[in-house]
Amino acid sequence: MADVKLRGVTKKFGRVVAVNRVTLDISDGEFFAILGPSGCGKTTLLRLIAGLEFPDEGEILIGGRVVNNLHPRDRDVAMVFQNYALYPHMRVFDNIAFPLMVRRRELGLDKEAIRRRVVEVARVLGIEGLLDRYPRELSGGQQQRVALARALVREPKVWLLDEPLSNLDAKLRVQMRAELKSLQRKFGVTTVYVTHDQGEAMSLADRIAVMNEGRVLQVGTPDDLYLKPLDIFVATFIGSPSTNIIPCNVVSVETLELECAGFNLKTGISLDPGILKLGDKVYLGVRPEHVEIRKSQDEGVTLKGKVTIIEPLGSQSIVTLSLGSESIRALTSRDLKVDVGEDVYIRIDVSKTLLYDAKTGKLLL
Amino acid sequence: MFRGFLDSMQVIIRIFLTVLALILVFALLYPIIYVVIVSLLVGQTLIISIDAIRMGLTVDRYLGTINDPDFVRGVTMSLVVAFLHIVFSVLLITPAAYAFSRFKFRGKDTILILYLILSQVGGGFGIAALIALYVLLVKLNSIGLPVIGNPVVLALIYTAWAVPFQTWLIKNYFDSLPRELDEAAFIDGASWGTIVFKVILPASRPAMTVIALFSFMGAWGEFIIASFIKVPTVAAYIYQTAAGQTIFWGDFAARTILFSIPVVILFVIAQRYIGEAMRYGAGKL
Repeated sequence: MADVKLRGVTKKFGRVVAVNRVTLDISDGEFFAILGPSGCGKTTLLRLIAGLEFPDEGEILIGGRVVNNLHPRDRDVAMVFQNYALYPHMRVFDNIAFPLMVRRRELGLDKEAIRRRVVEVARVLGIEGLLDRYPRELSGGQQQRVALARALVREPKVWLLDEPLSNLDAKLRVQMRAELKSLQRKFGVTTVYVTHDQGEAMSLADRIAVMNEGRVLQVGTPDDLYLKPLDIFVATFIGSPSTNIIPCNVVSVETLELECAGFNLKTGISLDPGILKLGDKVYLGVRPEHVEIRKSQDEGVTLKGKVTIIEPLGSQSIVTLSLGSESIRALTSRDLKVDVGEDVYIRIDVSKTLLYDAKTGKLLL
Repeated sequence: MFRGFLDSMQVIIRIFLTVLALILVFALLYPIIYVVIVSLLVGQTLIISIDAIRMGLTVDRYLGTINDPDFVRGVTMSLVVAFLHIVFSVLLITPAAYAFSRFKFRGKDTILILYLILSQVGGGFGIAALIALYVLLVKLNSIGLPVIGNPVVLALIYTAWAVPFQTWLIKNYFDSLPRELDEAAFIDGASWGTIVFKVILPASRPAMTVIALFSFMGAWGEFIIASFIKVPTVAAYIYQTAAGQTIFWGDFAARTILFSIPVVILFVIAQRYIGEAMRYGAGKL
């Protein structure tokens, strides 16, 4: 087992900076997710740790050892690919045994010892009945398990997973998610998990690094990222449906009154002096779950809007409202009966709003 | 009324197309049928006439050929050369194709384009190359290297000949294999040799089958270079026995039929793979 440290790691492909001065500390035994949209550099980061790419700048440490120029073989990592990369001409047994076979002299294993380990790992993953099959004879979920078994059989220090669930159907994905988490706990192996699915990252990981355009914007626990997204990108990327971002001007500093597109909002929050001036542009971030729809004008409710879209999700619905010239989304209980075109009153939970500097996109409050 | 007209039109069209297809098949098969008949005639003649057929048919020509020790030696030699050619192709061309498919290096595109040109231009270019090769072989032999009559040298020449086309074919096939296959093996600690020969090569069975087939056909059918360096392959045997003052057409026909059988059988067996491999950029046979 080992920790993984990245120190100012940069990787360029020609002029494109795929990974930009990334510094991360991944603890021993941690389940760490790298989350970001496609093309943000998350897979490149994983490949750098694996040793499939070499960094242009910075250092990568595994278990306290700098591995920048080390062959992947000597890094003692195992990787699971999005398409599983099972060897099509080998049976499941040989696929799982492959990492042991290629270094059986180093490890001092004979055929019988290899067989025992393969069967053991296969049993843990519930695929011991499939060992004689070829990969093409397996379902997606079974192939996935074989790929996981192949990555576990060697008992690597670090487990690298590149979107391993994205080729499965929705139901199986949720099931494998739970299994993956319990496997990781069982083996206690340091895991770096790359995904673009925030739900997956939130449910699996101990900590998450959110990446965009080659940079790590925030590292934190799922709660940190949800409650206190330090960057406007993180705010919109974490949570589903995503956070409403409303451009506003500061019209009063003392009570922090904001003039937003077509409506005014008195937040009543007192900021530290000097953070904002009159007339500053800010972005107001409001999570859909903190937007409340009322049919009558109750006390303290000043905003009025019109329902434009209703998306039922089962227990809840996403209701899109036009508010001034903006449209914002609210997550409401299914008990609330509204119709498209109906005028409603809107209450925004001011204590839970987020305020971002319009220029830097960083959290002010 | 109109419907009946359409139906009868359809029947006419079907008859027409069937007749057309039969004519086409006959045109394509005509040379083969002709050769088969000539090989079965009692008299050694190239002209098929009622009189010639009336004299009777015989399989003696075939039996004679099969019992000819020179023919048996030729077949053995051809098999040896073809086998060596397949082995050389797989051992030499596959790693090169792998490098072309997976690595970036200086001059890669230039070499690939050169290969493409070389594999497409035939004719005069080929004859010039043949003359140059002949001179080279004679020189090599004159300094004492065992070039003449050496099947290994012949197989190497065939392999060299096949490099441009086969490199492209295998490279294109490798391009279609996911890179993650190599990378998974690479991370697991496999050497390049293991990756190429134990992972990628077995995973590309259609391409390998086609390479083996093309190599076999190339080596089996070629006789000019084989005659040059005096390797008695079966093709060279047929060529040499056909030339002379009098030509024994019946024997010649029987030999060519026997000669073509292995290729036909191989094509039937490997049909499935040929189709698959052809999709990966094999432009010509």
